[in-house]
Amino acid sequence: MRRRKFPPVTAAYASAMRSTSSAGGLVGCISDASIHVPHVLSCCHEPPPRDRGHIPPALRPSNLKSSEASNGRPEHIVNASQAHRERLMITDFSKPTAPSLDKRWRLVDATMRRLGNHSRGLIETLHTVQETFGYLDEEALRYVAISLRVPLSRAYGVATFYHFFTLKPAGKHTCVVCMGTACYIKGAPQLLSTLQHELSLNPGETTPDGQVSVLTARCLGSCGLAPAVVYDHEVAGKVKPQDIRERLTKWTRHDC
Amino acid sequence: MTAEELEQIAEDEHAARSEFPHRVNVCVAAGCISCQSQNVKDAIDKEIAQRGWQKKCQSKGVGCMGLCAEGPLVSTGTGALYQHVMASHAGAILDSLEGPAPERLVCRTDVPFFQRQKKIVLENSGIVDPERIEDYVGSSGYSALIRVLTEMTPSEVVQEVVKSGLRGRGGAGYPTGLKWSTVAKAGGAQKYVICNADEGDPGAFMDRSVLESDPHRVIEGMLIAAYAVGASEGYIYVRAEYPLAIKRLRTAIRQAERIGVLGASICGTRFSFRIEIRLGAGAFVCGEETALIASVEGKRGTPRPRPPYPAQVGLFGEPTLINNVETFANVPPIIRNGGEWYAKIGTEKSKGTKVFALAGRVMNTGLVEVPMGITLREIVFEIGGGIPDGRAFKAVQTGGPSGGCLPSQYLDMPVDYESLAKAGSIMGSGGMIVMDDSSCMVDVAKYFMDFCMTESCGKCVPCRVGTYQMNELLGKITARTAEAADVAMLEELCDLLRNTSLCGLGQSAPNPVMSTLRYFADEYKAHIEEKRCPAGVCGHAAAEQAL
Repeated sequence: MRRRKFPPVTAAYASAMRSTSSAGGLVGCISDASIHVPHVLSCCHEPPPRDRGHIPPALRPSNLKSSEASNGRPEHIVNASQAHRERLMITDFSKPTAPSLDKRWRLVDATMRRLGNHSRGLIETLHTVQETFGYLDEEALRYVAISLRVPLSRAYGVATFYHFFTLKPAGKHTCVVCMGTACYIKGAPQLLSTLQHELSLNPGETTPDGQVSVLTARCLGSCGLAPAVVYDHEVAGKVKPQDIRERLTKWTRHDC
Repeated sequence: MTAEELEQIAEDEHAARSEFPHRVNVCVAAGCISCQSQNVKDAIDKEIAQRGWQKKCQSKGVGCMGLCAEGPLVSTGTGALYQHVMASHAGAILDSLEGPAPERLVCRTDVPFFQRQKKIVLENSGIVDPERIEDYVGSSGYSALIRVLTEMTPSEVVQEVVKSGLRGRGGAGYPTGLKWSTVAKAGGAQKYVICNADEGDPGAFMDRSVLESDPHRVIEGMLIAAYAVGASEGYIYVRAEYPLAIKRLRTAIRQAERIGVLGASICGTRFSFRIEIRLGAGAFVCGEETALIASVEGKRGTPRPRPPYPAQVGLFGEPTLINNVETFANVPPIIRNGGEWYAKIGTEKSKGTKVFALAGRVMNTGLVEVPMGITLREIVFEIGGGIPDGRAFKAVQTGGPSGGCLPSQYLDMPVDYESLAKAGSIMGSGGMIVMDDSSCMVDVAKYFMDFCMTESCGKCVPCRVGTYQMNELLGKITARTAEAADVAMLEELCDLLRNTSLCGLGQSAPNPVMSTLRYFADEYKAHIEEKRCPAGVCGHAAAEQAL
């Protein structure tokens, strides 16, 4: 893959982004960040300028011994390798630390590393976060945005644009009703109204005790089994309202 | 990997297959998996072990056999097909290999559903194990790639595809050969090939089935395309809602890299190609090519005006070839058998076969592959087996939210790109939903408009605002509070959206409304003038809450 060479995140940039986490909502923090580091807003598509002040003194090109620096090679090659070394060093020192010691962040880091810590890996990274944590919260969005050097607004924009991402944790059990055309004409609306009636909530909501979430899907592709419902990641076909009632009773009775 | 090595793998595979006198194939595609076919396979494996038949009977999981509604399906080497198989039937199935077949499980294969189909894209579905590359190679897999790399120049490959008359299977039907030659001619050191597997149409599951049943075929098609246009990197953009397809694609890519048909210097030539998977995240608009490119780049999936077309300025600003799963799946057989062979199938302007996902109010729901030019009546009444419960046929919906509803007078119309467009629908990706008299067409139109409204990306005003207004008007009609002027307004909006929207989503969003207005005007009239719903659907509390 041909990658554009982006200067790395600097410690100053990362800490500035972190320091804003005390600000209330997502929108608030973006404007906050702009006070501390103006380029967060002004350089939406460009990474922040490299800050050489954060290279450890011993590694600064000017402080390297001449044998290390030139080694008898033409000057432009020496400079190129030094630039390369600089870049590596800064990245190593300024990589934003994960929000917590939770080992699941390593999976997220691994995804970002696989995609070269590039902004084009944003959707893939959010998928990993959702897969490992179940949903995307502010902390996760903030961490991913800093790591991939994208404005938080873009991470939030992507997370809310795509239906697959959710910013709220799902309940202990999930019940996804397929609303594809085949399911729709074979009675999916009745299934949904049964759920709404039994649990008194709307699609996309979770019961107050956090037990059951009711969701709808555009199409599961199980049209041969219409109407289809997914109970806790398990597809059930030709579902009748009675089946849903039974499943809900099972979930509440066994408390499993 | 050389041609000889590949042949060796195929020979080994044939030898291994012929060692077993008996074979049992269990469908492990998504439809049957959700009917617990994995348990059936485990039970059969256990039974084989218990009987000590390990050297006598080979069992394998295979892709979709088509008749999804009757799953789990099991086929045997004797040519028998069994439906609704449970784990407890494992013994009976094995007995049938050397004795009489269990009558109550037998699924007849001499019926039109199986006899009328012509399988090109699905030729390996239900036969090869999607998780073993050797099985695919044993069914002449990757032989088209070898042929292309050793005997043909890129322009010859493009010519072969042009000769075949293959058209894009994603919906619009753009000639594939023309697209390939545009990308091949485009300058630029780096080009990309993208496989569009973002099957967002509700009611369509062809791409999912192909990816789950025969992932290597899609990879081979992409490799041939990449060689023809001079690309070295590829992406498969697949819906995150299809976890099994993603898993099998990942396995397939790993295996292809292992045997050396994917990666650097393929088959000892200078041709290199890598494929990465990108997951969609549930946005229908990402099926549109420029929106898909934005999504692969990690951005919100919003389309941009064309030209420039992706063939000139696509992914990361480089020339990009985007084709649908089914289009790529058609490529290896075209190369193997020649473009002329393919051009003999189908009609004058629509060549080859098309896979349809037949669903809704029809007896045999599932996946069917038929030659272009077959009539709707043949699909619905012969292959599909007609309408269940003695009800009357009302309409068939093709093309999902971008298509239209065709009434019974179009049943004898041949299915090809032009005829469908003329009748006010589109071929689309291949979803085909049959409706009987229990469906209200105004309600169906509202269902699709609601879909388009929710899925509109919001970039252009006609689509963002127009779909909302149309949905409101349709809501008024289904609530039976509308007046005649509302229909006039609806028609005006249809025209506006169609002519001024930025991308295909907005331009085709009025299709369901226009086709129902055209063919089912009496139903609109009943809602507005008589304040009643002839099908008795509208006003049903559930239907209204759901939307």
